[in-house]
Formats: sequence, C-alpha cells, structure tokens
Amino acid sequence: MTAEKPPPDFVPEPLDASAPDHVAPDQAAPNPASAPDQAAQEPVSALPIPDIAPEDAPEYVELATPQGAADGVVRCPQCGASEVNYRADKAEFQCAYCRYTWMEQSLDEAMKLSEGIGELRGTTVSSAAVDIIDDAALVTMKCTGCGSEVVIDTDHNLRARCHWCKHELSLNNRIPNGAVPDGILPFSITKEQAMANISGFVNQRKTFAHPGFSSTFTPENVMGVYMPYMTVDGNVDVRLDGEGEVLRRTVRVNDKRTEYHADRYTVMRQLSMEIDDLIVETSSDKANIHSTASTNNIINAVLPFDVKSMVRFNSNFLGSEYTSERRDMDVDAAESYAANHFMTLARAGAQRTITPYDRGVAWKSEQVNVKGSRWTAVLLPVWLYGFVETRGGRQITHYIAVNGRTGATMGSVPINRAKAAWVAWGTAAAISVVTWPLAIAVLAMGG
Amino acid sequence: MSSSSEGSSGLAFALFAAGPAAGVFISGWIKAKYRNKGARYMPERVVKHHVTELVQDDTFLRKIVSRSRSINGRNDQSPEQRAQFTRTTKE
Repeated sequence: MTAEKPPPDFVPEPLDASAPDHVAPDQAAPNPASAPDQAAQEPVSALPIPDIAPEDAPEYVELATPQGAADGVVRCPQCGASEVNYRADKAEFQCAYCRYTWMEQSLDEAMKLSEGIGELRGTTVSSAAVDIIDDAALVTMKCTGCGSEVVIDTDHNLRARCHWCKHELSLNNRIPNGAVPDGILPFSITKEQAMANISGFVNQRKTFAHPGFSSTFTPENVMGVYMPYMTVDGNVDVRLDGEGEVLRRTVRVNDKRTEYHADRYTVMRQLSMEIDDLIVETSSDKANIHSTASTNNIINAVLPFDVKSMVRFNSNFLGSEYTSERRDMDVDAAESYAANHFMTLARAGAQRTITPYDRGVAWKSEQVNVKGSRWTAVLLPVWLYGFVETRGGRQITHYIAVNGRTGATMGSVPINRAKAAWVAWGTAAAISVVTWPLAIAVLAMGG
Repeated sequence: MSSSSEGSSGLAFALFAAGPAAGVFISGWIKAKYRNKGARYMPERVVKHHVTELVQDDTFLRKIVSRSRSINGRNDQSPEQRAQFTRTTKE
C-alpha cells in the first residue's frame, strides 16, 4: 500500500470537524492501511464548488461518424425498391419486394469506440453529438423520388411517406436539431414479448393497484420508443477524502447502553480510471430521475444496453411500429450527469480498499478530473407503458418500461392508498389487540 | 432498578411496538414493491471500468468512544449518494 501526497491539481477537501462522538484520551494506534502515523490534519475551510466554465473548456474534437444511408429515399441494395422493413426477431432489414436482407455496419468497430480510452484527452464528440444549433422539430425535405416537399416531425419520427409518389423518405444523417443520432440499437424484443413482460409485472402487483390503473390496463397500448442517449468513454482521475473508523472494543455499560471504542482515521483514495460505455440520458424530460411528476427512474432502471452492438443509424429501424424522441441536451448539459456516474464508479472502485474500516467510512469529498471523454449520440430501444395518476390536483406519470434488447422490466404501479392503509393498519390493530394486553400484564407482573 | 424489571419493561415495550411496527413494515413493503422509487441505473455494477492507478493515504486521527454502531455519516455502502463536497474539473 503506498502513501503518497496528493498531486497539486487537487485542492484539499473540507473535513467536518463537528463529529458528535467524544474523543478518548489520545493514544498512538496502528494505521490499518499501514501508513506511518502522522499528526492529525487540521480541518480546512470549505471551498466553493467551481462550475466547469465554458470559456475554459477546450473546443470539441469531432470524431467523424461514417456516412450513413443517403437522406431521402432509401433503396434496397439488391432491387432498388424503397419499401424496407426492419425485422426485430432477426435484427435485420428486409426488402418488402425481393426479400433481400441486410444489416447496417457496426459503429463500435467502424469508429473504434472501444479503443484508446486511456489516451483520451479533451472532449471528443461524434458527428451527431455536436451541439444543437436549431431547435425546430419540423424538417422539410425534398423527395428524391418525385421532387415534392415532405415535412417530417422529428419530435416523433425520422421518416415519412411522400404523399405524391408514396416513397418512404428517411433522415439518416446529422441535422441541426439533434434528432438524428450516430448510432442506434435496434429492438430485438418484440411487442408480444414486451406485452407479456408488462402483464407479468402487473399481475404480481394486482392486489393493491389503483382501481383506475387496473380497470384501464391494456398491455396492447405499450409503445416502442427509441430514446436519446449518449455513450460516454472517460479517462478520469478521481480523489476521494473522508474518515473511517476501526472498532477496537465494545463495552456494555448496562442493559440499555453500549459503548464502541474505535480508532478514527482520515482516508484518502486517488484513482485513475478508464470507463467504457457509460450511458447518459440526453432528453431533459427524462434525465431528472428524481422528478415528482414522472417516474423517470423506471426508464433509467432498465439500463444498461449492449451498446457495443449499436449500428450506424438508419431511420428504417423506426418503421411504422416505433417512434423516437429527439435529443435536447448537448454534451455540456450531460457532463454533470456523467461526472456524477464517474464518482459513483470511483466510490465502488475504492470499496475493496476500505475493508479494514469495519465501522465504515464517511466520504466527505469527491473530486473528479476528466482528462478525456468521448461522446456518441445513440437511440436506444425501450417499450413504454404509461398511466397518469391524478392525486390532490397533481399528476404523476407512472411508467412500466421494458428494455428493448434484454427484456429487463421495471415499473411503477399506482397504489390504491385506501386499501393499502386498511390492510397495513388493520394488521397493526389486530396484532395490537393481542400484544397490548400481554404488555400490560408483563408490566403489572414486573412492577 | 433490578435487571429483571428492566427485562420485563423491555419485553412490554416490544409487545406494545409489535402492532405499529407491523403496520409500518407492510406499508413500506407495498410502496417498495409497487412504486420502485429506488430503482435506478447502476453503473457501478454494469459499466466496464478499469482502475489503472490507485493511491491510498490513511492517517490516524484519534481514539473515539461512540454509542453508534457505525461511523457518523457513513456512506461507503451507497456509492450513488454524493458526498457533501463534490467538484468536477476538465483538462
């Protein structure tokens, strides 16, 4: 175990000097981490938390995404027909006329997204992950079949049929409003499988389900949605500071009081980490998993996805069965979420080094220095079932979500509060009817 | 107070508390099973990460006596909860 001083990049953390435990007479004690004993550190005053100043941030380095299918009419490579279907059960495209099948190229291989994480410096963004410069959802494109103009509402889909020549028109390459990603992970869980998962989930929660939910529950209404995310690779340094305690002995003072005698240490861990394919939400609606209006944590909980399998985006993946949500967060806005996850990973990474502290560690400071990161915009498949509960004039959207690749299912089922309260407190009353007379008898005999 | 009377008052307290405790438990169990408020993405379990360098520096501060079973403010078992001070910088 090494004991090195922190590099000058890191500012000492503020330590809480107001611990309520009282201090035993000062005695020398061995360091559980075998570090030489040192004088107790003086707590330093709290430092303001600086934001990442945009003017200090380096310019993005753009990582070119391979050119996808052309925008407009996408034709079958075999016969040239423009009716192309995505078959989720086989994860491939099929021409509606000649039945030729094919698949898009793997983005991870083409862009070498799993390589060189340790060498990342600054912020690297793929072509479709650059900043949104035009927020308009409606995109007008000229039909490459007949020349007429067709409007696509990119808030919900990325393709449309030309009203005149009936060709399918697709948006496959970057547009300024962030709607087209670099990659996509196609659905491989079919609607029938998703419906079965959702029904199974709800069937296990029927007893106390809200009557409005139960009476309207229709698994057929589940929607296949491609949600916008970014995959993030990170080359980071993290420093954790806190205090830990090692139990030396336990003294039972009397029947009601036990004292724990322990040694307290300052604990510092500094880790360099390479992180591969962290997933971060880029829809501001869904990024806040603590929302009180929407159970966004449910969608967050069906992560992860096998993003190594993502392919170059092609809007034919959306077909007529699926919709898509448009990214409305740039890398700048998503960075704080990624940094939060980096700290979580570092905390978990440090866990195995703090086992000597059997009374635990109170981490008080977490600092992450992002040496390099790489961002790729991607649409990921989620089957979503929603129910809006109105309570006290407030609406809460409950989701049941199924991961469109793994089938992992999570949900929030609104509760019949009156019934739950009757059962909980009825049980409490029933038990008390028996136990309270016994308690009174015990007190009478004891007195 | 003798130890037998302390024991009987402890038993009486447990009997008084059993009913309300059962109610609180059932209520909490229903909320947890139906609402899943604690469900979340767990990158610490599912994201591939590799620690390339680890520096440790622990220093003895003092001996303490506490009535608590664990350190005050313990948070090492919930890595998703942020410490009181956090800072992010970019190179």
